[in-house]
Amino acid sequence: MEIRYATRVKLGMAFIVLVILASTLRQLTSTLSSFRALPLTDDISLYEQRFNEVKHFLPPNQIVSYSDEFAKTAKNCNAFVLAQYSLAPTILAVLDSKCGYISNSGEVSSHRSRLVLDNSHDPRHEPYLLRLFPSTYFQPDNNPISIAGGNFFHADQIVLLHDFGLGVRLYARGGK
Amino acid sequence: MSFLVAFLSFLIPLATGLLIVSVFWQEGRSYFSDLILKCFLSVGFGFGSSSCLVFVWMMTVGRLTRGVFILELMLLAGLSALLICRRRASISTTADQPENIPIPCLSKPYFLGLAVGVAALSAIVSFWYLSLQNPHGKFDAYAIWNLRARFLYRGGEYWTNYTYVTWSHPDYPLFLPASIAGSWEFVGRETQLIPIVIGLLFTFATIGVIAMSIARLRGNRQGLLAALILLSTPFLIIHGASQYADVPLSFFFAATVALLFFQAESPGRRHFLILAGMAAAFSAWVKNEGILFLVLLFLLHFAVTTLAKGGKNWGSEALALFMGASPVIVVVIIYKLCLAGTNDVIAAQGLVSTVPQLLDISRYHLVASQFGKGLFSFGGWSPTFAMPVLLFFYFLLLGTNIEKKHMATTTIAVLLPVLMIMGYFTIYIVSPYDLARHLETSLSRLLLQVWPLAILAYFAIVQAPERVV
Repeated sequence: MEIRYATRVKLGMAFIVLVILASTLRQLTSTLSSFRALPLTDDISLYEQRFNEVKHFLPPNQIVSYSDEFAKTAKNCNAFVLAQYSLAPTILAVLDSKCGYISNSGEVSSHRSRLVLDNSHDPRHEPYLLRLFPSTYFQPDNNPISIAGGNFFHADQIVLLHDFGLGVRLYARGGK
Repeated sequence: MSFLVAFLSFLIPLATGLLIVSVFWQEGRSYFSDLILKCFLSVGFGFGSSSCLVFVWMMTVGRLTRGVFILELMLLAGLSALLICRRRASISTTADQPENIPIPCLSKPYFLGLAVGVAALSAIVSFWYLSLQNPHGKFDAYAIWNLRARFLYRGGEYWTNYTYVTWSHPDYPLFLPASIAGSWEFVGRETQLIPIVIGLLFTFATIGVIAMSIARLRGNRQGLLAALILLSTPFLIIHGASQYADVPLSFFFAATVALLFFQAESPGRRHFLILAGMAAAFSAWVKNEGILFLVLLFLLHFAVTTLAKGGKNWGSEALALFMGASPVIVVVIIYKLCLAGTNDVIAAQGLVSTVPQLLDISRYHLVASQFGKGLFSFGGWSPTFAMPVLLFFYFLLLGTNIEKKHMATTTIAVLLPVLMIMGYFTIYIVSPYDLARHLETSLSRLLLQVWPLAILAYFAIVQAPERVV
């Protein structure tokens, strides 16, 4: 009886280990085969490159207004979040959107700069954007809002300071 | 070259961690006793103390500079001196050290060892693949932790400006950002290798601490089985590679309870309690959930120790726990008072909205059903044999055995994850957000936080196969 119980325990343990080992081996094989499909540079690093130039023009201690064509709804904030990640320590305050709410306290207002960053996307020029953002971002109802046609700056005079290419443009409110 | 520089940047925190653990380790033992376990523990204690120093330095000096490394080296020197002094003082008492009770030894567990080796290889390959695919981590990594590390490193005197980024949870503590920024400062540039390696160290140190602790307490087979279970939890590896703070948090939860078990092995001394208190306080420095853990630990310790050993014992044990925790608690309080904004869940909460939520039965139903489903699926296991089902089978097979000296600690170890889950349950009930979405985006992470701790508690209860066979 004693031996039978010991054997039962050993068999039970072997069963558990074999079940785990089988799924581990399956996982290992599938991961190893996935290595071939890895791109040389990851999508976020590629996306960061679009801000390489503009970051030299942004003040490190101020809040810069920001707009992109996706940020109209709270669920389409990825581009804004990645722009903030790339451009830290400059703080981006997204305009007319549910993304990136920043309270408008007196202290915050005193840090606002006159600069406005426009960040628009075209997957025809940057195909990796289709991997980086959900495909719904590029649906017809998400048509890009041009900065001039947008309703953010009606009260202000907006002047283009520099076009950095790939849809990244820096504007200034109230003249250069 | 990058690997070498990154490795060098980790040397100071890891050496500091090893010295902290060694200073409070069992007196009279060799420096090299339990060395692997101490090395695993040193990951948490090293980055914990280093991140606290980085924060205190930045608050004092006004920005991150290399001067912080002088402070770290001074701590390293102080700890080395303390270790030598303690070693000299304790050499004469070596004879009366309680030895671990030898567990009956069967043949060597070669098959189990082989399985752990394969699982470890698979986990390392997965981690490597995921890190190559997402070197910046997943959403929370670049939206919160690495973003804040960039503010700390790039911000100069304006490093506190991250507090204006209210959508990025500015109340979250700085353990991970300060660890990353400190290493970047050492290296002299930003490299994604740093957060990747920190994620790697914490993922495997968590598994290592659990496996080594269980092996020490319950025998090698149980330890290897625990390692196999954690290595075969795909979500733990995925999440470690995602560079989120949940894995370091789970490390501190597990380390706290493992150290409480070691204390039960040598009840006359309080050194492990000091380390346990420190580990629990570091969890509060990693994420806000750690504050709940710290409070629950002290409450449970009070209740269980008073019942099991009487009030006098509780007083001296609680003092040791508090001695370990207090320096880190001070740092957390300074952070919360001086920098952290209001917690978004609390800020959006009002009595008017909380009461109807508490009385809404449909919310309880939704949260309970999601918890029920989540418990069997959060780990990303095969749906055919979910790990909790296998563990239940193993439990039925071997039965339970709790040693008398471990009874109080085992009670704490079991109740802590249960109460943590009850706490998370309550937070969901009063959540001001869309409940279904809140559960969808966070439940699996919260369950993962307590998973290693639950495994430790589980193996503290289940009979060791060496004793059965």
